[in-house]
Amino acid sequence: MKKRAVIIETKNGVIKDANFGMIACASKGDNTLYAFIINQSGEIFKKELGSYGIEHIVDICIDSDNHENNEKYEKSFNPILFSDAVVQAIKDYEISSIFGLTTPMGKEILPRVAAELEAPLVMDCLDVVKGFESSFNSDSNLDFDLAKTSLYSGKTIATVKVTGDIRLFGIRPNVIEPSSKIDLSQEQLSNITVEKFVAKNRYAEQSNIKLIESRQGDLSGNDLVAADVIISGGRAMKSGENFKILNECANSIENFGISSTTVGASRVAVDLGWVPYRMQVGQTGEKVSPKVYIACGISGSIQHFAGMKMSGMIIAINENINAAIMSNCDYFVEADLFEIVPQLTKELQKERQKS
Amino acid sequence: MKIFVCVKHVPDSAATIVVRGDNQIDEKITFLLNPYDEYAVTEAVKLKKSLLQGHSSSNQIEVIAISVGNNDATKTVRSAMEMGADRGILIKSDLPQDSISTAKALKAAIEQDGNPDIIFTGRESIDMVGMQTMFRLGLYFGFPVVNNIVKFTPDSDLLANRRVVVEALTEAGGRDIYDITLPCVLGAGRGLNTPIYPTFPDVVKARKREIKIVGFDDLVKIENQSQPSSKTEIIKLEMFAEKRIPKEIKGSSSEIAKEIVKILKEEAKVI
Repeated sequence: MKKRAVIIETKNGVIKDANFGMIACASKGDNTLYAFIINQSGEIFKKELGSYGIEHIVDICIDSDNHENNEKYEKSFNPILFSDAVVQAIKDYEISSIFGLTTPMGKEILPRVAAELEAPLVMDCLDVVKGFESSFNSDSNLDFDLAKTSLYSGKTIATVKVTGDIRLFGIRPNVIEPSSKIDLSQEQLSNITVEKFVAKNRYAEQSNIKLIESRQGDLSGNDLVAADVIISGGRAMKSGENFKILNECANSIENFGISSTTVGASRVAVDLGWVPYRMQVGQTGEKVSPKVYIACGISGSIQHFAGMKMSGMIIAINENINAAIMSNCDYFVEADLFEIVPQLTKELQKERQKS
Repeated sequence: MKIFVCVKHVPDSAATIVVRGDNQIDEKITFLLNPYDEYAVTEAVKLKKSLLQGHSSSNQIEVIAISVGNNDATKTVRSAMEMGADRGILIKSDLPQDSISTAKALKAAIEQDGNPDIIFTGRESIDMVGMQTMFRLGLYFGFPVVNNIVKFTPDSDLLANRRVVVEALTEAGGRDIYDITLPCVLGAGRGLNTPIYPTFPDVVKARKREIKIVGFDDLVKIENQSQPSSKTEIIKLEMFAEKRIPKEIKGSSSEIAKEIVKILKEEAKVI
């Protein structure tokens, strides 16, 4: 049986939703599925991960660490140290396919692990499947070998054949639907193992690089890449201050308790200094795949589309009917966003009170 | 001090991509220096200038642009030289190469040229977005790697102390700050600097500078890895189907808002 592992990402002590789509992808076919949890106690996630099909939880920690304070551990995340710990766990558990998310953490860990193992890695996968090679040869021990990813600024979809004893896949958050949760019986639950893997601290021996400080970002809001709904503002927002009407609208969607919602921006809004770079959607910003993308006063350049064209639904609000986005969306409103957005917030609040 | 900058020749993000055959694109479009590599070139040139101000003589500090690509990629190497790189190396390959073989070829060519002190790259290429070549390159050399750096602070006496402090961008605008001893590999992120815009004299000067061309196969043969056991290859390329048919929402502001609420609730099911 093939052994696959998913690297679980948490935020503020909670498993990020994007992990469940990745688990759905990794659990296809015949396999044994491991969840690697870095720097946290895996025990508390047993029921949740089990209900999505995880059979074994491996709690990866570093030699001489203790596990009393999870919060402290999330803060002391060192990508070099933990990538090496993952390498040790992969070897120890004889894992053949490793899945992670294409997030800031995944972008640190997956390439470091792939380099160390000289293993192939495809980032930003939209799907991972088993190709023809293995189906022709039934006793072949080959696992997943084809990854789908978008190349050339999102204009093409490529099928990438992956060759190697160990293979790594970085999954784009939000594009793969999670499978439905299973209600675990007491017996099933007790069959899920939680093991602690203590990795050697080989980083301590390295004298040519030291992580001297980790300044945490603002983790209070929802992640742009993992949000279900994104409301983005462009040039027509006119100022950074005006983004508050997008925030209010996002809050009124979030208040339904169904979809994580956040605010994004086009490159222009970032370049003009209205909002921070971390909010930028596009070619040189984040690539997002929300269920709904509401573009307010965004013209829709090719570079912007490169970051959001995988959205489930695109709603464009723009005064300019000739803006590119108006002819490449699902719904468009030809109007002033400063009239529509506050009105939308009001209607959402009314709807919320009804339900 | 030798500062290498790895640059990639990529299709202009605004170009119309046409798929040719099973897995290639029509290359009769505009290709240019990968946007993230502009930050890498700029930082290397800035570093050279600041070291020269510290009275190092100019032949002691060298910025070398290096690329893997076909003949056309000399244009991208030339662009890096217009921005201030002293010379260029093109590792000529008519076939597309994956991150593993690219890193191997870069390592071999850099090593052939001399001992690198700093190797800059862009944080990713906008065409393939593999996000890994810099890590593999660092591993082959045994150098530390930090990617997506947004701040680079060399030691005030870099030539003697050989130390730099870099800040890497992490989740939600956070920063990881590293103290690194040279040699190292650094991936430049957006915001590291404002890319140099070459002037006409810069362009003229760059024309006279040398671009050495080496064959990809010769280099990877040196590494004795012509048949790598680990690889990725694009076997199929398809156009992304844009299938959206825009529908207009009309009416007064409140009618439009009500309609959007209805769409969010009934069609998108997000509320």
